Amino acid sequence: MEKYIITLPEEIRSLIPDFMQNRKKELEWLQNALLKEDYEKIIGIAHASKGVLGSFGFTKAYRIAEKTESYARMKNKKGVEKSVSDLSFNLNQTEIHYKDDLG
Amino acid sequence: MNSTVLFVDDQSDFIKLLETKLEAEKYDKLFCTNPYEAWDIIRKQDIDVLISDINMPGMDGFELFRECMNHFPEIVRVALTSMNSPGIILDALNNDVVHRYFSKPWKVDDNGKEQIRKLLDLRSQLIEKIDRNLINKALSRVRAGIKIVRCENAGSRAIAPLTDRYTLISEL
Repeated sequence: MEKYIITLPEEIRSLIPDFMQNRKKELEWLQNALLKEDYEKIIGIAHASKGVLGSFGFTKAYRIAEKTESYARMKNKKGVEKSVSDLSFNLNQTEIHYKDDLG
Repeated sequence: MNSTVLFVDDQSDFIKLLETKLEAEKYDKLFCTNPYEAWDIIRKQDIDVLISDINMPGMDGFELFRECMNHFPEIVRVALTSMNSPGIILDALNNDVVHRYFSKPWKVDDNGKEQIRKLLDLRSQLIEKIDRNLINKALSRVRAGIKIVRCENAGSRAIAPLTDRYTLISEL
């Protein structure tokens, strides 16, 4: 199965367990909002999520969250479904490595 | 006294990232996930730079910046957002609601740290400008017929003596 390997600075290692847990919560919120076709809520969650994903260095997941936000703005249900599923897959398949001198 | 930078973002993970990455920076740092709490801090403490997200529940970042602009204009205001509406950001910049705009994702690397340090210089310039305007207003009120202007060769060092940086000229 496809794996996404990302390398993060050692100094943020201790933040990652909570970070991943919070992203999983956001995924649940996205899925619930999608069931209700609440696009405003999806925009809000995806927007917040993309900022934090990108800042932590989860570039691929950041791009997927960005797509989720765009599809939600267009009220494109299929697009949102696909991108939320991609985001879930990406986060589940991400393997994190740490390195000291990444800054 | 150290300079103080206040960071506001409702994403607690992002705030924790900033706390970790900026730990070694020499200025004082305050972190907040609630804009109302941030406003409380601003009213009670001396803040030099405010760096805030825009999309937050309740009070959004622009509202916080406007309050700041009206009550504490000497605080440097910086929007830090993944908002992709250039029109809204430009409006805020052109109307002095914010002085700078940083785009998210923001990984707080060496470049990001340098950007924050530069904001502290901007703060000194801002205070000088506000002080100069206040003095000129006072001078015009007493009809002194003179105004204070920045010397041509003043440079940007805010710690230089006032007399090296400013001169009085006749308004006539």
